[in-house]
Amino acid sequence: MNAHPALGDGSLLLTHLHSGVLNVRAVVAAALDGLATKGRTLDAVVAVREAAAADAESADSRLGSGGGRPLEGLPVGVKDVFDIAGMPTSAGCAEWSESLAGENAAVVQRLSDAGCIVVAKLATSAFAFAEPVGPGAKPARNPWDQGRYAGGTSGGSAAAVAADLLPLALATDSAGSARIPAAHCGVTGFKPSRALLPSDGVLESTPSLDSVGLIARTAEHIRFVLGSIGAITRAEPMGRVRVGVLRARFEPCCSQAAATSLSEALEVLRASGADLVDVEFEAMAEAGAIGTTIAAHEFARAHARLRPPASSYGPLLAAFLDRGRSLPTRAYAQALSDRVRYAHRMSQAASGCDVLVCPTVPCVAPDLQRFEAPAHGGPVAWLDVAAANTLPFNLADWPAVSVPIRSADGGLPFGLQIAAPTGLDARVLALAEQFQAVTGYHAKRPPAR
Amino acid sequence: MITFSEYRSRDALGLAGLVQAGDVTATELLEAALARAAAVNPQVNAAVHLDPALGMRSAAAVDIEAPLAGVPYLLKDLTIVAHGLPLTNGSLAFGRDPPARESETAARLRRAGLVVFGRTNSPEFGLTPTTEPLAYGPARNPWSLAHSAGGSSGGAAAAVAAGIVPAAHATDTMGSIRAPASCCGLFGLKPTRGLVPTGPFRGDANQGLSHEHCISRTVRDSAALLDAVSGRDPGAPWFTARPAIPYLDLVRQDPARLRIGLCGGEEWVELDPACAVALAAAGRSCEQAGHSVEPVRLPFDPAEIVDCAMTIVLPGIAAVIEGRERELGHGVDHLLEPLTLDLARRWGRTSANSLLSAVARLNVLVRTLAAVFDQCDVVLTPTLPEGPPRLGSIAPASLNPDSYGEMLRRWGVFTSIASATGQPAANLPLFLAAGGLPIGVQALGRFGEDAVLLQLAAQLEKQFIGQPLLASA
Repeated sequence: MNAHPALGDGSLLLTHLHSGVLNVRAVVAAALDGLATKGRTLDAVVAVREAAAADAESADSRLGSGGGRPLEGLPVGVKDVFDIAGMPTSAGCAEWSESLAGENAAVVQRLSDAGCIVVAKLATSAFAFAEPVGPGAKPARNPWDQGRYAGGTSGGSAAAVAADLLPLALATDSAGSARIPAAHCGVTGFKPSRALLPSDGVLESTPSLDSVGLIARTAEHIRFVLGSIGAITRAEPMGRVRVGVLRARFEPCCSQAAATSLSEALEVLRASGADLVDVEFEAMAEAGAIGTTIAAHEFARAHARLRPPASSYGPLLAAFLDRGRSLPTRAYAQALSDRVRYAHRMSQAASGCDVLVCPTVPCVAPDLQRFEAPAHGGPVAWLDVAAANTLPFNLADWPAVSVPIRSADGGLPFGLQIAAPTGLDARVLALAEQFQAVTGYHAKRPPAR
Repeated sequence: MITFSEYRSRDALGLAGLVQAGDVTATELLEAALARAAAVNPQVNAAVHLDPALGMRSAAAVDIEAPLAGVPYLLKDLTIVAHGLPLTNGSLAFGRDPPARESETAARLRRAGLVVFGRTNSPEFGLTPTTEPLAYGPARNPWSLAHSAGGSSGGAAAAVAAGIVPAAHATDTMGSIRAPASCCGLFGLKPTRGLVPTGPFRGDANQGLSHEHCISRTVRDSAALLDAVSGRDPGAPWFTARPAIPYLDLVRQDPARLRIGLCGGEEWVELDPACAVALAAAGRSCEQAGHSVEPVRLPFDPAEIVDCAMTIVLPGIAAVIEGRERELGHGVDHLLEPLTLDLARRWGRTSANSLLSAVARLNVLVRTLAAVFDQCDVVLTPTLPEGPPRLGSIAPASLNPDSYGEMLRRWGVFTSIASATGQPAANLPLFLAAGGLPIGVQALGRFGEDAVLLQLAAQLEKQFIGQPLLASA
């Protein structure tokens, strides 16, 4: 069945709901239906929230009486690491779940106070760790090619938005988990500065890197949503934008299609009035070692508290936790101080630039079969590739957004990442919005099957 | 039997290869085309006349060794005369009787193995860069059904983009091949004047402004079709010889290093920023392919070309209407769209003086432009000043003769140049703009150097934006 067309564009949907062209009940019913059918075939949905239908009725009566809030009636899905009152938080692990959550995660509550209706919990790899296949978690499928991965770890969120099942989904992003699946699925994924959104009620994985992320069709919608919950105000006018191009990060994208796609994206920025300058940040790749040390230690600490059954871990996560447990505390402390230096060096490299850009992920979505053969460069090799360009901005705590650009190999989606120094969330979104005002790659839908 | 995805994944040459190898029959290909038309034509309204029986007879008679053996093909409902297919020029004033004669181009298409099975939508007399005739209703854009497929070959572009046929016949007097190709994300070459016959039923074809060829998904299909139709047409007023080597062979080679001029035309027309962005991105792609790219100024205002062209074309429409009235023995005013009638009334009184002045003025402009091509091998411009128009926004019903002129000066500003000069010009579908709608870039070549444009297009083809996703009904 086809998804409700209005679910594919959150801003248009709100216009229609608030002008009375559509009613919330019908839209929410269509969302629940699409999630329960197509969402399941994509392995993108963990559970639909039936109580959403009742919320929709209240939303309709609020809108009917002129008391609609800014996001009144907007269906939202959340990665299954966010607490939703009355639902279990299973974190992608069927064998394990915390008891029913008593209240909503703070960010969910803020969305819901602005009128959003939570309709589903969406797939994540187990414990939001980037191991696509685990004992309890099926990898979310990519709507562009169901034999491929939607990307991790917020694959369900990206797949649901890409398939027009939802206009907005919450994700998390500790090393790229919102931006990577957004790039693979041809939608917009935003990792804010960590302080922008509260993480209370979100399953902890690596608390010093964790950030709440948002996935939607457009940057404009993400900005509108964040504006509606008071998280950001409009970006300060920038005048002529100086874009720092992390040129060395373009080279691993070896395919001709990827190179073409990236050079066109840069040309679009230039032709829309930006000045492009090449930026050298030779230490960028050091993020891997620093981030892995921090994450291993913090994951191990978090899981000592969570204590899921050992059988719920995949081999990679088990090994990662072992590594975290055996890591000397001073190595962790060293990594924390390396991180501060790393962020400083990134700022120096970017000095004079308003934003930095590079490919979000150097390749298109990987084939799922690849994860079945770890001996042949399975998940491990893939992880190193996938987060190479995203993790640096988690370490430095820069807001970063992935926008779809011209499709690359095999007509599969490809993304450009735009990042700016901490706190300049509105700037990053404004530039992404400007990019999407002239390009239409975000509007391209996966082939109908 | 061939599935739709197998059918859609191949271009005309690919499909002909299957027929030549005996893997499928021409009849099976036609069945696939008819099935796709049944699924999507109710939404896009690309074809206005489908004749399965005619197609089946033609499919059964196909020479399977012909270069385009068995490829389903549609003719535009404008000017081209073909056996058994009514020709209405998008107008209620023309009969639905199928003629028993065919034009030279139609005959060459048939001999090349194409299976013609219908007509595509055209605005009345091809007058607008959108295809919204009262007689048939609008051709919708397969990328967005609320938008126009462009015009005047909008039905052809919609049919190709929606996957009914891999390529379709199209005509171009002021941009009618290139504008819909831009709107629908397709390749569309207006060949050099005199390369493709317009006879024998038309002679000068609007002082050489009018051209015929095709809109296609792939560049090599356009080359193969040009091989099929180009060549001497005895008695024609214009003749351009084709190269000794077939276009299909030439298109397999990269062009030599080209000097490419980039002209955004911002001083002539208010340009949608996305068109400027698309042009700049195309320029960069050419540089990456090894060509030299420099900005270039065209030393005149093409709006003047549009005015001259209107002075030539519109009296011609008035003459066609008069001819039809003589044929019928009565007036057809009540059958014409109001805009057409108003234009015919105003321009039907054009004096011989103003007509000849327009021709003389065009000569000056054309000579001025020719000098630019001493410095450049190819000039890139936007194809249109904006993306596909919304349906209704420039529909004939929304225009009067004054606003029609304004509209054409805007929408035809880039495409009318090559119509006037006779140079080859092609739409390169290189950019997907906001809203997910295609924006093309126009490449103008030197007179007679169609092969260079085809080679450049083939070189950039890997970057074409691909196909729209039109859900089957």
